[in-house]
Amino acid sequence: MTEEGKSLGALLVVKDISRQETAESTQSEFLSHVAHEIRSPLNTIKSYTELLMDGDVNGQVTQREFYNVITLETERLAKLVENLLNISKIEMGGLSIRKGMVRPLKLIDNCIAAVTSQAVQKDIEIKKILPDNLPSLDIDKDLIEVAFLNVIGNAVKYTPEGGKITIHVDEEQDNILFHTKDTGPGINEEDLSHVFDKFYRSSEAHIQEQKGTGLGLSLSKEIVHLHGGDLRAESTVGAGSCFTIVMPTQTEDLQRIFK
Amino acid sequence: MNSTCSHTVNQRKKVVLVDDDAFMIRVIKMKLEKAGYEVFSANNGLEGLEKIKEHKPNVVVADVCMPKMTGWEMCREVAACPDVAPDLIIIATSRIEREEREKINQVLNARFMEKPVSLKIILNTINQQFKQADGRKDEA
Repeated sequence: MTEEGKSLGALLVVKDISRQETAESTQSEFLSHVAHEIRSPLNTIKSYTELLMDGDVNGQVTQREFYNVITLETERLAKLVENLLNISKIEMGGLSIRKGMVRPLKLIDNCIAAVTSQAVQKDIEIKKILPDNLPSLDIDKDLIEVAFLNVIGNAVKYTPEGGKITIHVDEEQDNILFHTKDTGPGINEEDLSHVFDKFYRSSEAHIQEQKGTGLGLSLSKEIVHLHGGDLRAESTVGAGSCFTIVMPTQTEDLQRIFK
Repeated sequence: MNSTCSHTVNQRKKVVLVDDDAFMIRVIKMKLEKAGYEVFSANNGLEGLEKIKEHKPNVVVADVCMPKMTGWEMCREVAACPDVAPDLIIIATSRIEREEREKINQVLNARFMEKPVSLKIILNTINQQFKQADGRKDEA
């Protein structure tokens, strides 16, 4: 402006807010999913408790079944909260990683032990094929176990009774490859392309029958990535699926990955 | 409150349950059947729509987030077929879906219940609907 009050020009400020809007919309979608995923088990817990309290459930066997459903849904809720916290910590870069040398055989044995009772109930055979003298891995054992357990646990969950799971480990250049192959129904091409997306659940009946948080594989992939590795999936409908965790033997310093 | 309705077997009112959660189908079905309703179930919106067309129920109880067809999509399809539209549709939903609720309310007689829902409230809402409908018939 001049002293006389005349305008000398104009300043136009243009700010691209499309990225901000996309981020807000993604966050809102994520929260909506979280709300739905938390409400579902809560809904079941409340309804089953209500029926039991009202004396609407007759017979000890049915009552026990109802208590079992309540326990399962409570565990699902706890698992969901745990997965959400881990994902959130990873995405915020706030997850502290405590590395140490771990033998692959020990890692696999721990995970198999954790799913054995479920496998026995379904008469599923778990076979492991491990070469001798595999190098130890410099990893956060607790975190990597979460990733492995999600993959092996899924194999047990989706393999029908009497099926077979093979955990085949081999070395390829500077990586150790952990293949978990099942004799489940397989995953169709469309679902396979979304299998690591958060909250993605296939609409196939055999998937819908099983309860899940829709976060396990997504979290596993993030954990493996944090260790400089990868998680891949291959599947053929009717012939089973194979999830492969690739772990580098020559790990970079994790502090550098965080930067 | 007496939560049992008084229909005789041949006058049983029909309810279609649409939910992808088998656990929920089981308990709602149990509660409504005990109260004398004839209950049919479907595990997604598409199947729900088929069941509604087939049985022409008095009431539909539906979830929102379902594979193949959501509860909202199913409601829109039902609203487009007035001859199968139920007297009441109960939708288990969440607070953040206000816009969708308003749209559905314009075309169907809908009640929205926030999860976790109460089975007693579902049953009482259905009973209330029939009480009012029966009262209107008596007046006529």
